Amino acid sequence: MSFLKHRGYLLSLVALGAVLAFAACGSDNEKTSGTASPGGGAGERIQGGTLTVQNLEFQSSDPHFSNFVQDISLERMLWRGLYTLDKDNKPQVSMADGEPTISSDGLTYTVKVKEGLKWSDGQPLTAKDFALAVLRTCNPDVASNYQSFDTNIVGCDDYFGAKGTTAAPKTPTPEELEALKAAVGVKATGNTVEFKLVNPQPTFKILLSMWTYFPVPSHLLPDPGEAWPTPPSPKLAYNGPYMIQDYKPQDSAVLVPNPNWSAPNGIKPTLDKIVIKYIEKDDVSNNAYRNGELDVVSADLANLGAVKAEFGNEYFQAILPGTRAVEMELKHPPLDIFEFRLAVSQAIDRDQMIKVCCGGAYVPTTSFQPEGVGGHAPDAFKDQIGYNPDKAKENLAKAKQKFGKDFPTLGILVRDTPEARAQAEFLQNSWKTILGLDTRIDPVDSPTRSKRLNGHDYELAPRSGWIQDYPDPEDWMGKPSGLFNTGGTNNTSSCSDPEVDALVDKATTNTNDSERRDQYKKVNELITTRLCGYAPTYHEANNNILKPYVVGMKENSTAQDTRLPGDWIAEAWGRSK
Amino acid sequence: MTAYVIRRVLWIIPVLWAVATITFFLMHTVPGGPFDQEKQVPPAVLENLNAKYNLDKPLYEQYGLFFWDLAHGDLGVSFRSQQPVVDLIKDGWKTTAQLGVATFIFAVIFGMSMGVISALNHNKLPDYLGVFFATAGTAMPSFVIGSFLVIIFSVKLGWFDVLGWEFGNYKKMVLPMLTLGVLPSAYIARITRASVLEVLNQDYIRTARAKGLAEWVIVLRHTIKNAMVPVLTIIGPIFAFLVTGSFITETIFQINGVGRRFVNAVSERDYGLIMGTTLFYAAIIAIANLVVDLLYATVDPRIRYQ
Repeated sequence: MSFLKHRGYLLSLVALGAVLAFAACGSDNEKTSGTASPGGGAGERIQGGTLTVQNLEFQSSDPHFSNFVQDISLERMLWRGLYTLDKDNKPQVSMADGEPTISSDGLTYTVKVKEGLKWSDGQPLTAKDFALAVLRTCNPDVASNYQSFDTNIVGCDDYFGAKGTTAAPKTPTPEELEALKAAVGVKATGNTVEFKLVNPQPTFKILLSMWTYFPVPSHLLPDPGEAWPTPPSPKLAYNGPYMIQDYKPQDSAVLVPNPNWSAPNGIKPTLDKIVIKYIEKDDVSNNAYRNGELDVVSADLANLGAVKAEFGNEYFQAILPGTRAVEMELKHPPLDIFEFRLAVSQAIDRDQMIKVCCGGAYVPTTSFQPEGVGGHAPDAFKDQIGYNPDKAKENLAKAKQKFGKDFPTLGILVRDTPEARAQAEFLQNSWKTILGLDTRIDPVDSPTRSKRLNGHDYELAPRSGWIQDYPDPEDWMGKPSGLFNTGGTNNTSSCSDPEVDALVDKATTNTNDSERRDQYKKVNELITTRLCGYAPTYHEANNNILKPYVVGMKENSTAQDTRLPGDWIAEAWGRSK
Repeated sequence: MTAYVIRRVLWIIPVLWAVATITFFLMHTVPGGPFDQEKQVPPAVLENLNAKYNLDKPLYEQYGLFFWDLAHGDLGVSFRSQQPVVDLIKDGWKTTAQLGVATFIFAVIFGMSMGVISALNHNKLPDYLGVFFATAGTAMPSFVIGSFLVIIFSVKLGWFDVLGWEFGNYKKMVLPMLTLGVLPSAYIARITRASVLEVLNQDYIRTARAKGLAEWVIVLRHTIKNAMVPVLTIIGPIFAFLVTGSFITETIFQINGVGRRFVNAVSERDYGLIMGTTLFYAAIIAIANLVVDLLYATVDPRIRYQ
């Protein structure tokens, strides 16, 4: 037995020793310091090096299909359109050879493509490739999520709707489909592309810089209905600053400079490669950042206070053109009573909510449309709809007189995430404490929430709102967003205001730029002060942590950022050491 | 025996059909669809998206189409990434299987060693340590273990990587294996200890000792072998559990396995991927159970299948 006794101890020691030895093998690991340096991010770009950044995985790399920000973030690194937006959101020449020629009726845009452009595989990039982009976006089989960007092009809607609806399906013959395709108002002749519009559209040049207008390598994908290959693929070529060298689903993508990038802005990539790691959880990415495995990550919002304290100047907040609000379904009494909505809005201490629920990750606001895209300053409507408990109580009393009975328990529809629940609980507590209102939190997953919002099956929905597609007030207040005009595509609050409808109608086709901007600004004022479906609470922001040697991200961060600072001009990214 | 195996393999077909049918209808019963987004797509876009994935057809027709495609070896495409589901599962499972098999080997060796050591040192320090490990390992959720391991061994000590899995690279293997392996090894340790203790009290062990057999012969030849049947019973399901992927471990270490993909598919209502991964899981579990049943007969000659 004594042997066995010793053998037992021995085995225990061996097992323990093996674990420790296995662990100790890693002690020579190089560990990058997480110490912040003042003004981190500044410095000149050196030639070479790798940047490893966190992002969400793209759902689709097809610029004529996708609609997720991480998709667009990637696509702008790989492809570029005829025009591109500059730091001030103004469209500048990119692949086009100068400004478009616009016909006197504003219905025909003719754009000359630069001579000598090449795809990454060395094949010529021509006007035909840009025309094919429109045909792909309008193609019913591609089923583009952003066909709305091309809806004003003659024949696009007819081609897109060629197969009818579920209720009234159509089965067009190949000849009929071909005829519909031929009728789409885009034509490549020599080195020029001609776009024919249904109505004059002052924002069309901005749209030409959007992802749905990125060219198609027609030498590889000649048919507009053809499936977009998953990169890297010999069936794909790129005209942007980078190309995909490697892609591992759920893990990473490796981008390397495109040798044929024409650098219309004069900026060429200096990095050898960009490694994009696909990480959904920010606490995980933050640990990897601490361990020196990542150079740029999204800050963990659940611990934002600690993150800011730990990383100092490495923390970077970029305000985004996105607004979150408490959405109210106006057809559900008592939300149809203006005074009730006003009381609900005035009982929200926005500053406190952002501090308590989100660690100061966002910018409190009372304006739906951000100031940077022609809207109003965050505090513009503070006196009308901002936090004021006394006025909130007064307005609730008025609403009760109109309603004539006790208020029912209202549902708060919210995504079942810790941050969303925290906001819902803050709001529930505020409405109960200040107004005595009873509410019920309905936590659901994302598709269920969307289904209920779109089906008008809710009463109050915090964290609703809008994230900008393109930097123009039209995208916020106009028909493309369809948030506030009666029957608009995204009008999930049942907002219906004749004054708003009339102004939106006027602004849609107004070719006088400053006049139409004023009209949209007035719409913002009306819908905000009348609380037409939304009580704005905060503007979105990206919260990142960047190593001090990262260059070109903070400096180029604008409202056009999607997922990463300065990702609209990733060719300017680099390392200072 | 051969007839039994053939019968069991054929039984897998109706099992998979039942799993697929239940999943299909449950999936369509849950509110929200793959294209329900906060930023609502225009009706024409929705119509085209539905047509593209056959969602414009009646449910029974979609059900029929799914099985028709399945019969032709086609699991369809992911509604999100538009990549073939088979490719996505293949990609993810390679990693998941590596992690699962490596963890399985670790859990079996470590768990059985702990169990045997505990039993052989009954009511002594190693036994107390073994029981403590078995209890703590079963009680602590893997996300707690994983988080602690990352903070201590990656963030503080810098010994291992936080991200990913790479077979052969210890920096990327140790922490995921420990995180995933603690629960099964604790469970194996507990069962092994109990089983070995029971065998040690059997008359034939007493007889062997009385005959003067060397202790190591008694332990290795007569105790451990006979104590293995209950352990084998749990090893099969553990193997199936490990090789089908762990969403938690794969998420903590951002491993591109099939477990993470499956859970994301559910939350995104990616019907194509949900069906594919569910069928894949069901097939793996059915096959693992069959293998375990066959192993019983190998370990215990008294068991005969007809």
